Amino acid sequence: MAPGKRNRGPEPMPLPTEPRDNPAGQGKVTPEAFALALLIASSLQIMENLLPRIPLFPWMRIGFSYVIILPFMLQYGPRAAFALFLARNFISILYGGQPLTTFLIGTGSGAVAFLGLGQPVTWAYRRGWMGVLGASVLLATGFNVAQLAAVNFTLIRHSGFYFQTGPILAWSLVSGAAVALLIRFSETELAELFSPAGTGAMPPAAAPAHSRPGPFLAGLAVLAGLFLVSDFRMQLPVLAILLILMKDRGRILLHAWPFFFYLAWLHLFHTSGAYLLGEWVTREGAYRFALYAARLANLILLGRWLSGRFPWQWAGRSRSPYLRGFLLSLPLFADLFKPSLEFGREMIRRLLAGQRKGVLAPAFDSWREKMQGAAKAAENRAEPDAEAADAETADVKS
Amino acid sequence: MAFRMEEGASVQVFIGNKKYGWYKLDGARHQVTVPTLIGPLVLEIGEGGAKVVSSPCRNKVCVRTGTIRHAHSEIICMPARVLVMMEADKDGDGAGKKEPGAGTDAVTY
Repeated sequence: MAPGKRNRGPEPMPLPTEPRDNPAGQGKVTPEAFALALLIASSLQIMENLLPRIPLFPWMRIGFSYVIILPFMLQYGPRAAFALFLARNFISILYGGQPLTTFLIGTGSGAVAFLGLGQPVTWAYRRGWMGVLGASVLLATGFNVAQLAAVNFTLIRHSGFYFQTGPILAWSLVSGAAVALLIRFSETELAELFSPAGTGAMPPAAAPAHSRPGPFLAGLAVLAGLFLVSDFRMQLPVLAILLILMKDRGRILLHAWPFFFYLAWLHLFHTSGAYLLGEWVTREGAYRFALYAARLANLILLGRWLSGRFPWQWAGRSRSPYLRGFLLSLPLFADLFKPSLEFGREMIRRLLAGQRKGVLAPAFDSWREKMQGAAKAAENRAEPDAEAADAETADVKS
Repeated sequence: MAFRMEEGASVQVFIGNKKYGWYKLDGARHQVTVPTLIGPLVLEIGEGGAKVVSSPCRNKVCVRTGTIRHAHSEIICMPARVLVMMEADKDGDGAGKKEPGAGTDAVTY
């Protein structure tokens, strides 16, 4: 690796992978580094949306954001990486309109992967017993298997769903290798990201949007109640209310069609009992399908409703570098989608042209510039305010 | 006489010449009520076996048959026109029979 080649100011810190002479890692995470890493990771996640999904396996994705999250883990440890992962998922809820169920499943699986595998992987890596490729594949495997189990436990509830274990293990190998390659291609940018000079001046934290906690807590209680009700007729009134309340209901439910497909396949056509329709569908199968499909629709719609009502003011008083970094990055997320898609196109163009090194550089450069621009704008706003405050103090004194 | 016994995995239930349903044998025992022409017949299915618990018929031959566990075993209740037939395949669609080596090797009378 040659981090100084691109001549962007001070010499960046080495990536934790290359010189493995510091088993303790590379210092503590700062809010600024966390904010910039979060912006780039979220941008990479959106870039991934450019790629087509595998039919029937829509959750099989490469995980471009791990190009940031994995080195972040190797640099600052699994707890910091999990915080970054959690913040990225929150951003998906806030700006990507992701349902709460997807958030809970993804975050639960991530918690298992990072908190279970993160420490041994980081430990083995820092001692040179494992490379980026091994760490990436192991983490991808842990995450994907945990996600399969979480999806089955919460939504599908059928042991036949584990037929996906084989394809998922194979996909973990492919996606883990792809992420490791992208990390290798982006070493210079990553080294800059982890250098204190690389984060530069940052804007002040934005005040999070206020919402009343009552509706959020009530919705959360209903969400928990849905899991306890095993009669589909009791799920139907909730579904009717949600269908009336939600605007984009058709599109949201259509987006989750693979889940309904698996429910039909595993429950409707493979549950034993008395035949209802020919020799294909049993009465018991139809009942179970109705229960799980109504519950799934409720979880998806209620999750979307809840995601827009999170009381962010709860997070405003923390001294955690992760939360402060998260709040620091919030003002820039409104402008996330368009440039992210442009970075994605640029990445594909560069890869097709055979350019590997710095393939993700536009995303890194652009977000760093945006943050520095926001910092300058905040400084300019702060100066007249300070002058006005001084003048007010002088008036009071006189 | 079958030379090799195979554990049953599911039962098919017929009323007359019509299939009524199919049930897996794994899991805990549970009761299934079959509405026959002469009244309800109660089956107990689970833990790898199936038996008739109660029947509206007069002689109770089906009840006295006891629990069946092996593939191709049957419980018959003539008055109720019910046939309970054990199968080796789990999905109750006869797919297991197509596997080479599955089922009995030979049958003699």
